[in-house]
Amino acid sequence: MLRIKILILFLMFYSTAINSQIEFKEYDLENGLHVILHQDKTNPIVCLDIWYHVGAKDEDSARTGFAHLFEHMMFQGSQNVGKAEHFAYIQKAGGTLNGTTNQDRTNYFETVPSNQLELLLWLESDRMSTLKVNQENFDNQREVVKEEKLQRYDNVPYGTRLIKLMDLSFTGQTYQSTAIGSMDDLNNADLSYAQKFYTKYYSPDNAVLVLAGDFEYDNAIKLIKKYFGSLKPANTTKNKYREIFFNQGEKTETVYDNIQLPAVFIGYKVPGITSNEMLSLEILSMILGDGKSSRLYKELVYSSKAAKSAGSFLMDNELAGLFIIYAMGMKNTPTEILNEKITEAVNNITNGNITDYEIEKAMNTIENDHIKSMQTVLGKANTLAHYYTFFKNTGKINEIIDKYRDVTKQDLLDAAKKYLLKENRVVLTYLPKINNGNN
Amino acid sequence: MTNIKAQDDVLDRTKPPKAGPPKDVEFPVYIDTTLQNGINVLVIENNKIPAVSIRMVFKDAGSYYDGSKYGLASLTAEMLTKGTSNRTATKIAEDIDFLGGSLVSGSDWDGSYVSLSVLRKYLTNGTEILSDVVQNPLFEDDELARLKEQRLSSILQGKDDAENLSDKRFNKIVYNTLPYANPPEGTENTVKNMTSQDLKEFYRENYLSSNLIIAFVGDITKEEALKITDEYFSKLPINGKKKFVNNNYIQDENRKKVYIVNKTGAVQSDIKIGHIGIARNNPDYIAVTIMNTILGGYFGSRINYNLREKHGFTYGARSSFNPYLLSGDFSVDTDVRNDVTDSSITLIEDELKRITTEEVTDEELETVKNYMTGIFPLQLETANAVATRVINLKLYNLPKDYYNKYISTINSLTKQDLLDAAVKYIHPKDMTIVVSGDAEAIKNKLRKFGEVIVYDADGNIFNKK
Repeated sequence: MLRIKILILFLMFYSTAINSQIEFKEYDLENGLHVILHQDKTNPIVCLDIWYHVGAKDEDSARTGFAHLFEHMMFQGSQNVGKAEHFAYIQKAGGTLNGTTNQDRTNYFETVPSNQLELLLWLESDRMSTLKVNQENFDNQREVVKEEKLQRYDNVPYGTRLIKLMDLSFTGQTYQSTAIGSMDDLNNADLSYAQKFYTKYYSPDNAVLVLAGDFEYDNAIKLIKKYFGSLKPANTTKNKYREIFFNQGEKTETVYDNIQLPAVFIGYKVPGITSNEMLSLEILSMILGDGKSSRLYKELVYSSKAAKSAGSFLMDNELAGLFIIYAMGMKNTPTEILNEKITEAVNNITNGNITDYEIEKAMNTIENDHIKSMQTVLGKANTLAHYYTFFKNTGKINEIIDKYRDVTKQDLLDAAKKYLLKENRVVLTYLPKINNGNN
Repeated sequence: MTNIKAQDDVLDRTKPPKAGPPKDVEFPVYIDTTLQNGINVLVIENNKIPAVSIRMVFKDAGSYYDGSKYGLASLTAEMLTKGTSNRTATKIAEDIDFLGGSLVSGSDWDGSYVSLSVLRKYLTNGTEILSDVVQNPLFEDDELARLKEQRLSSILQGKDDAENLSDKRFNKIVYNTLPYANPPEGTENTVKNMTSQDLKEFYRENYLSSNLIIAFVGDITKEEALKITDEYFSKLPINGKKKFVNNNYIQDENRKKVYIVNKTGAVQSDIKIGHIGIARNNPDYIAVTIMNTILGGYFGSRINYNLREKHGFTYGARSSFNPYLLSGDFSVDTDVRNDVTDSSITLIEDELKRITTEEVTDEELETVKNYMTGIFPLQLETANAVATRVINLKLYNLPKDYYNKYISTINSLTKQDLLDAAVKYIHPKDMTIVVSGDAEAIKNKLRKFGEVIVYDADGNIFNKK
């Protein structure tokens, strides 16, 4: 029945140990599961973090929200683990766990005392290979996800901003919908499709397994082989992604919401995460809107007192993302003023007004944030998985700061002139509901 | 293939693997010393990453001492970074941002704090800014005017936030005569009337070296920490004026059973059910926490399992004891769709009755003990997480060996101990139910729990037009 032919391809990469570098080993199992091991014995804990390369962008257009709904299914039982038992096992082991879904990937992670390592491998391999969900549990989690949508998006001031930005920016293209999906599609989601989705995407050859923390390399390698070595690859061909277009002309929409303060959200379409231009855009987003000494804060909040808060950040996705600028007005600020001042700040950048001081400041923040994210085993596991999944270059974790340092002022200017254009953006205006129609 | 040992080939997936022998967990060693000027210096050294935090906490300088000027402590703390005799507000922001680090000041109920976080290589530069904002703030009028405007906008915005609305109403009823009943961020009225004179006075009386804790956290030694304290933080006065606050708690005898804070058009009800709780240094605190974890303190708890996994009423439900220095509260919190608001409350009430009348099961007790002792090393993963616990020992006057005995205390608890804790600190008949949601949609269904009164977001009795 099962041929026990488990072989690790001993293609190990040993990165050298330089100060504050993250050391790791990585290899593939024969079934395609990519394994990354990072030893850190400073605390007697261990973290298992599995990333499946499937997210909202892989959903069929009439099944929005399914990748995330499916994430909930992964906690509903498998061949040897009953409903509610997954988290019960982890909690009884003294651990924490969760799963998250975004546009491009879904991950599942647990951190436990290090003597419980094998339990994690048993649980994760069981649900990677033999998920079992019945109609009752499927319906239950559908309700939970609908409540999640209400609580985190629909019943929250400006809660729909990202959903609307993506919908407007990517109409008819990949990324049109965000991971939470639409209520209608959630209501229509069916169990039989869950099985297909599972077979297609939840396989060792579509996943990366990261183990970080207190373990011995030999033992970890042996145990991972034991639990994952016999799983079958799916050899799936993914759906073809829809083409993404830039410079489609400025699009605008006004949303009347249960809010007190008006707000403006602007999204400029930017390339995928592996583009070098994204390094420049990240630095630009910090110069424009990161912190209280940023241009947007100083102009909109501090000097003109037009806004309560303002800033910018980069939303990076695998194929294309958004450079997002926001400003929340004071009670009586006309949103035209916010829009005008933001546009002015952006034009100032595209006209070439960038100082070396600002670049250095942004770089220092990027370095600080990078080092801080290495404080926890989960933080390190996620960063390792990220660079493998999207760059197929795990070692980038140790190179990324130098890559940022290589960016020149000319690179910044080129990226700004290419993407921060009026015809390449959507403008979302939020107004209090009471103003609708009259006033 | 031949190198695979026989036992590895036989994998029985039907049973969970056995855990290895547990490793000992010890609370990290730290330095705790008090200087002549009263400053309590803590050093939590850890060089895992090349970064340092300096966390300053002024004890007994939080919103509890606002008096009738709600928002005073928090505005004072925030104004520290809005201009000193050496730097303008903009310059402070520029200088700290240039280091890539962060400088945050604020207050909570029991203290005010200022925290610096920088990479080790910028420690001197960062310390200089921190020293400046703590010792030389100006509280200038135009900067205060700016901050007040921001604060008023936040208060206004808070009226859109369902959770904020129920929390505010709940605190008012439950804490009644204690300062914890008041909004720490202030009200429209108190913020508008705040003057720079008020702030200067609060600063003078509360930012004292005799009630200051400085915790040095991360890649730093004791010698460096003491040198920095001496060089940079010796300008604060030692003593100030003694404050008097009435700590007398009287329950509101005229309170109603159900409070709705109306939010027209809301698609969910934000529910908060509870009553007065315990202070942080209550000797039963650990027993109470363990009992509450089973009730609603973690994902596998009774309340979350029942409302979420069994009924699909919510994305999550939890119960908690929120302890402060002098008192605390107990509450069950969840968000549910409008049409199951009453059913959810009934389920919660049933669980409250059950935890106070029946012992928990052996299985529940074993699981929660494993959970609480198991996550302890996870909770100590970062230097700052350790520092928070050390600071709390000092802030809440807990025994020095509290964390050294933590695991053995948990392991010693029995089912009877947990039932005793529940009976003593949870009173199902005494619960106040607060719901922020669409009054029209939910009001009638809530009458079965008792008298219902409806407020609007501004805190006035709501009368439908």
